[in-house]
Amino acid sequence: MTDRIDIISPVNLAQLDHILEKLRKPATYVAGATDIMVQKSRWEQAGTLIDLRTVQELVSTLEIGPEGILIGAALSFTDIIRYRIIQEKFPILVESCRQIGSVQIQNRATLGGNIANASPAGDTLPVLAVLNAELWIGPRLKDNFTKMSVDEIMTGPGKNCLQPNQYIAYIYLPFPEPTDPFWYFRKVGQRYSMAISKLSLAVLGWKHNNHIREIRICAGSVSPRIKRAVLTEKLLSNQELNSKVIEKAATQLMKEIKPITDIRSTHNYRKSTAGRLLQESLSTWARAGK
Amino acid sequence: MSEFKPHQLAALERRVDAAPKVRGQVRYIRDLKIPGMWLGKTIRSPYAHAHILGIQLDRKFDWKQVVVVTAKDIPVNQVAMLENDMPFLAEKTVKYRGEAVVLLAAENQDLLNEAARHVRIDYKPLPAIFDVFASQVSFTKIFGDNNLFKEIAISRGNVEKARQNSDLTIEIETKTGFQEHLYLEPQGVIAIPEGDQVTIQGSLQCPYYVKRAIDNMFAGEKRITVIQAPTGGAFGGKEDYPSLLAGHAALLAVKAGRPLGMFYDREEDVQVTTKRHPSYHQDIAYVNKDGRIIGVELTIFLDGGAYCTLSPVVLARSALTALGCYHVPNVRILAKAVATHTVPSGAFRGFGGPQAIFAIEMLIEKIAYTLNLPPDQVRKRNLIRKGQRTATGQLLKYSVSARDTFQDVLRRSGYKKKFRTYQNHNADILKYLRKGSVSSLKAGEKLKGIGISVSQHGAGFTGTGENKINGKIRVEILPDGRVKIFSAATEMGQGEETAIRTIMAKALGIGREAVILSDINTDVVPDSGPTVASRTTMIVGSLLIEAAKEIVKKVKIDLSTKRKLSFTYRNGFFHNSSEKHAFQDAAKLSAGWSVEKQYRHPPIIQFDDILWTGDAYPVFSWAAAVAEIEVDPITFDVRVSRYTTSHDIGKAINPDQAVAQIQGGSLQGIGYALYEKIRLEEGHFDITGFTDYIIPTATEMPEFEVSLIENPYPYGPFGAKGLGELPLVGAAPAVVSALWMIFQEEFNEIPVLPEFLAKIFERKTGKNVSD
Ligand SMILES: Cc1cc2nc3c(=O)[nH]c(=O)nc-3n(C[C@H](O)[C@H](O)[C@H](O)COP(=O)(O)OP(=O)(O)OC[C@H]3O[C@@H](n4cnc5c(N)ncnc54)[C@H](O)[C@@H]3O)c2cc1C
Repeated sequence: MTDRIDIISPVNLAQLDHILEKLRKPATYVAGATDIMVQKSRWEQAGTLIDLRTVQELVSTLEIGPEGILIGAALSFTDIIRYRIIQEKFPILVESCRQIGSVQIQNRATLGGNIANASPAGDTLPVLAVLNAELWIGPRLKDNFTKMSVDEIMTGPGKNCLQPNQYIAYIYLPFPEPTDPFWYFRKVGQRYSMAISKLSLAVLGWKHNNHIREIRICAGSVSPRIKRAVLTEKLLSNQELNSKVIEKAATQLMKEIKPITDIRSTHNYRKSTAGRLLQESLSTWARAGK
Repeated sequence: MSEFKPHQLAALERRVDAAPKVRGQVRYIRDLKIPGMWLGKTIRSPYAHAHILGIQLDRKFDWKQVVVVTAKDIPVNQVAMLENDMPFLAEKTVKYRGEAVVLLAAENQDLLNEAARHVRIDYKPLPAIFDVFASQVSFTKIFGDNNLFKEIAISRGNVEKARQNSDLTIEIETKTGFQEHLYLEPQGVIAIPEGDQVTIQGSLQCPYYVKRAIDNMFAGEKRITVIQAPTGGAFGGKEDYPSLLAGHAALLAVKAGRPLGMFYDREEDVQVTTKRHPSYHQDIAYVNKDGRIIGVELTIFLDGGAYCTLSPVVLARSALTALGCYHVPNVRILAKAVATHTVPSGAFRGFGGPQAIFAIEMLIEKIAYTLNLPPDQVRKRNLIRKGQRTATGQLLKYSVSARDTFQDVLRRSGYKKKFRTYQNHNADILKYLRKGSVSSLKAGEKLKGIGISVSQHGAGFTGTGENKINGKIRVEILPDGRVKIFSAATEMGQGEETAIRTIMAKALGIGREAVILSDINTDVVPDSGPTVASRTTMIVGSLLIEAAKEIVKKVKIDLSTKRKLSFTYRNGFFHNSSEKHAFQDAAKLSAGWSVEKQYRHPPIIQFDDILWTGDAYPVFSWAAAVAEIEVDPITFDVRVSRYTTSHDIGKAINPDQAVAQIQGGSLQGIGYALYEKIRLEEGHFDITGFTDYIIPTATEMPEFEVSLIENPYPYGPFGAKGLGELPLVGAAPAVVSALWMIFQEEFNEIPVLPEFLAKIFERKTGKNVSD
């Protein structure tokens, strides 16, 4: 129970890092506030809120090098969707951002928030996993950010491994190989908008001579943490896609995931639907190759 | 009869309450800033059934800053409704999880929360019953000696003979779930004590229900005034519940000696307020091979929850609607409202009708699929028409449109053709699904379905209800010649203010701006009956027409006396060969005069509520709907893509608003069929609000093709009959009929979720996906 809440609005990273160094009481980060507003107890008890949307680098910086891009963690989904380079190189990310909540939510919500909130149903998480995203964690130690992957930061539903003074500064996405990548993202919600995923599947892959050279598969809402389906990936690599292989892969994926039954869906449905989603994606890919 | 095309309207009639609502100028109950007001909080039972052993207040806490109310503080601890079985606060036993036991009031929320931590209630948990079948045979008594709130038997013809003379017996058991109203504005009431007076303001539908309940609670020792605050949605959820909540607010206010606000947040609201009655049906039809139904035996069980509330009347409507739109000469209906240790069920748009129509329409589907006849053909063969009698022997003399609405949707939707086309389209997809070879599906391909339903809704109160209520209104002529309506009919978003003013204005031939409405305050307005049962436009509206006639007569006399000439009245003017006076100018002469009107059914309408025979309703409204759906073969998501419906509502007072009601109500019915699921875990609802109670949004809105059919009710205002509830009633069966069509399977339970549909093929492929 607090009578007042302090809000700190640092203007740049240097100031943010300085404030964090000085901070004595626990603070809570706020970006788009779309999660935190509904988790009332979290901010009511916080006492101090740090607004990341005022940190210039986190909202406006988008550094593009030859290898990949750095997305400011507090950039809204709407901003992300509008970036030409993201549209070109990461259509799978754009697709997942577009399916978040509603346009109103997308106008506020951020990638950093989606990751830090660590919900197994976070819609961008499986996509970031197949894109091999690297999270750059502040504050900088000797000018260097700490680096982490999506499956490392998440320790369980709603839990991440960040220290109280640590934050996500950037999401680094390496450009996927440009030669004919196949991508697939599908979200299954209880309705078409304003829905928390009961299941999602992200697939990214490349073929060589009609054989799968590399494939990355990640399902959302099927385990406490976001994990790639490595066994299914392994089963598929170097395979030629035919209905037998596709069915085997689906069976493998269904074995590999451990969904639960909760208010939104059932173990069985999540499992069988994940299998069907994989079949849908792979058969689309098989047909596209012909 | 004329068919009305909404888009042909030259100028849409704007709603009188629209502008301030859109601009955010309306002050809802929570927005009121009342000096010195404290807040109230309810401490509830964590058990579905338990003895209360004791209530302890922690001595270490400073109770001087908090007011505590328990059952002992209540003069008459019964919420006056049909059975007075529900206490305001539980005293010895709690009968549902969430039942109120202790009330607290304090200056602010933090203090209240703190105080609540210092109240200890000791319970002895008892076995609880959550199942209507277990309840009927249990030794644990929740209500009376058999746990039945009400039992109704309706009988007509000879069912035994029908069975012998029929070709076939067809049976189905159906089940419908809870439904939550999810009005945008949660429940909220403010009580203000001043001496012996207590003024209640709140978000509510029926001010006189609340007044009666609070009068009774204080044993007549307080003077009670009830004022309706602007109400942000209700759907029946603010019919019975506000009586309980207002009681809590009034008790705390009186004890604290200051204004008191009780405001539920969303989670508390969805956890403890009433829901639609879940239902179980066991239906048998005796049919001929051509699909003609010779006899039916219909058994209905409604889960009433822990207290009676309005269950007997909901049950009555269920029983009286059970035959749907069909003519069946031999009928036996048995209906029971059963007590369980669950949150009391209550009023919800449709009021027992949606359950009944779902069950009978599924019986029709089963007949069609058993006999291998098209579902529309079985319906058509049995539809009721003018001159035939219902299950209670009511002779339908006028305004019967079962066939017209049915033919209209068939034609406009292209049902028959699409039925065949979609079946062909689905054949391959179903084959692949049965084999489990999803990879053979074409990308993005969907299963397509088309379903149909016919429905009806009795307009106004059930049976003798209207003659018991005897709704009154008063209309007064103001000094400036405008007229002011005093009625207890409430606006809750449905357009009541617009309808009432429009009816009066049209009856007088004047502009709507010359008709104003009184605030809804029980000190000022007479009891025109509750705003429920699709009755307001029809019943209150008919009183307005009568009042208008007398107003014209009165003004004419006053004008004639003054001018010493005689006048005729037409189109808003009193005139004769030499003079012409506009209504409002002339009416100034009669300023201060008022007329009161009281409703009684036209004498031809007779009902016997002991034998359950006669005119159950003065008139029925009729609807038919065709739902077109798409089912994703990968996720089994169901989307209603197009919804064609025809509604006969007698006369559309405000056509634009009528279409809006039909769209909104149908969407709410689609939600009932496909999305809105509440599970009960040891008497606890597993929902907390908008995140986990899934209702359709704008994205789920199908393309609507609405047409209004105006088959007038001779005793309604301009022929109008009820509309408010009907659109919801037929939506679920139309959607589920489309599922029968696609899967050629029996569907007998709503909601139907993708999880259920996916299982159909898990069964068929023999693939077991569980560990
Ligand atoms: C109506 C509605 C619909 C929604 N629909 C979806 C949906 O379809 N799919 C989906 O995935 N999500 C959905 N969400 C959840 C939410 O919008 C997303 O998780 C969003 O990405 C959160 O971003 P935010 O910036 O608003 O986070 P905030 O609420 O600001 O923060 C969330 C959490 O992350 C922490 N945090 C934020 N930024 C950082 C950072 N840079 N470093 C460290 N910690 C940080 C905060 O302290 C907080 O604990 C929905 C939410 C609502 C209210």
